Amino acid sequence: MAYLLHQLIEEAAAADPDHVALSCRGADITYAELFERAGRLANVLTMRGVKPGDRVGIYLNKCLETGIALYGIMMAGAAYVPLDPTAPIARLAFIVNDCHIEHLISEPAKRERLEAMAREAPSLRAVIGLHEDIGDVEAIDWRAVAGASQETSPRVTEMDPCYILYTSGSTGVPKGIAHTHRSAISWANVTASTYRFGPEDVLSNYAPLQFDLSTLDFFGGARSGATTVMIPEEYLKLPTSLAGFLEESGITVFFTVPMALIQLSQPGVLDGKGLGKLRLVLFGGEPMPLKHLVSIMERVPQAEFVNVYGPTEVNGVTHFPVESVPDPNGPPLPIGEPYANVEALVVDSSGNPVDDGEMGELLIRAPTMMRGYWARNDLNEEVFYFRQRFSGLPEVFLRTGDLAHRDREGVFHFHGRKDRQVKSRGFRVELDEVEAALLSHPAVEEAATYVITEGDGTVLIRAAATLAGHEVEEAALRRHMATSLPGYALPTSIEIVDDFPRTTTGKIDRKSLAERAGALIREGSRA
Amino acid sequence: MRPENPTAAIRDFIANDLLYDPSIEIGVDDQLLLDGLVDSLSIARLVIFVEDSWQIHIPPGDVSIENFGTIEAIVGYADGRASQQQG
Repeated sequence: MAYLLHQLIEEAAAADPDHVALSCRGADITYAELFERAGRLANVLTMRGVKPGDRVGIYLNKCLETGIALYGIMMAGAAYVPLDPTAPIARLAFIVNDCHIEHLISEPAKRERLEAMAREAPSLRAVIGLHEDIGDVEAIDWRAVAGASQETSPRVTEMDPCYILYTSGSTGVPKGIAHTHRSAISWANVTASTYRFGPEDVLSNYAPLQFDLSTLDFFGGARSGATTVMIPEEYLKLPTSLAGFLEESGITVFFTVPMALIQLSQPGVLDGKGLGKLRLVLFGGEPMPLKHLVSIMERVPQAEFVNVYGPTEVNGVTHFPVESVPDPNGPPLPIGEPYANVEALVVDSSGNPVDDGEMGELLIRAPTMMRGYWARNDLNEEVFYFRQRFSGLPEVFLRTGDLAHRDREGVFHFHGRKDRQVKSRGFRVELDEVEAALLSHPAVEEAATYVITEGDGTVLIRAAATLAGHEVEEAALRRHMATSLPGYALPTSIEIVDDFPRTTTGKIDRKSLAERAGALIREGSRA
Repeated sequence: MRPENPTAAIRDFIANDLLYDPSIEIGVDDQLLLDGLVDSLSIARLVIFVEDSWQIHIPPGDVSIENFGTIEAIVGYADGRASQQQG
């Protein structure tokens, strides 16, 4: 039985070497080829001094090499760190420096951006997938990797990190969520058994690598010897093309965010599309508007729909299979019951468990839990909750920051956040980080960010600022913010104001700003 | 009404209104959707812009990679759609 994540492809290759493991843009790779090529990459990394516990970056658009990189890095004993191809260079350089990445897997199309990154990230020593060096940064061609030996001898334990996913941080810089082989393989195991994945399944890979949804697609798939088809980036933006892609690829398991289902449920999008092979639709990340869920369930009647809940820190921890088409005007979908091996606890502000029916913060204890935030002891001290039950080791829970209640049937219901983290179109954003980016513009005196929810449930981030004297245009502020924030975290509007609504103690009243904007929108839609 | 210079009109809209960066270079056959030049929220605004400029109705089913992947594709699609709606 595999206990390290990369052993999953070794087992799958032994069971059925010629089964297609991954497919992307019409190209396929079998489990045997994937195991072989990942082994060669691991050997190259090891020969170059990559040691167990090191971090190696993946800076690629979706392609087969992404899969080879994932497993090759882990076979060398290192943890992979995805770098978002659409993120600003400053943000990527921060990540490279934060977890001291020396080796990257990338591609020639990113050369210009790699040059800029190398200037800001002095730890970078080599890029695999390039033909020519960038100054002192050595280029290693895939042909050189193909000629390497396949031998690896990683001395890795299941408690070593296998990947670090960076997410928005409330202090103004991203934070890395470090998962171990144990936590990641536990997630692969629980999903494969709960949803009965098998070799005949075709899993989609919707989310880019830096989002945790991708781990189910790759590792749940490998656990079961299934095929994972990567959905190219351009299809994610156009629902009609996405629907055609799902049909043509024969996807049986689709794990996605509510926004994708909302888009697919628009009139005309699924017309003439045969999604008869789709047997399971998993969605999570934010609440799913019922109106759209009803409409897509009616269009794909044979598929089972399941609401999956869990912050990146713990993978998925509860789920709610939607047994029949719900009433579009009914109560929101529950986040459901914990998976086997998950303990969920609701506590009050002093950390004491509350009764069923009462709302509090949701705490999670599960084998799928992260090891911690990378090099952030300050955050780790806050995020874990220890319960002393018997003499000996304390039981460790994660404070999710989510508010929830448990009903009498043991089903959990979500009620929003304790803090200023939001989900906008499936992306997790700390409003304080957006605010910090706006405040860092020299012309800005004070800044506030807030969200509004549109009629269809779409959450939009907005900002307002007061200026320190000289004039500046909204576009200039936006360009400034785009140098440090990913596109999805940029506000949809930045209003320049003379002053803010204030609380009695003089603080900016963000709640009132949001209410005012919400009222204007409702007025606009009535007009 | 078809814009006088449709390619430039779309380019300017993407640069000024979607990316807030008039200096950005976008070629007529650059892939708009691959690297985050246009995201899922701005594609909706781009569709409205094309509808208003050409005075056409674009059904959701037409918003595909073939029709919206590049500036060139958008102009070709919008022209075709306009003549269809007139005819």
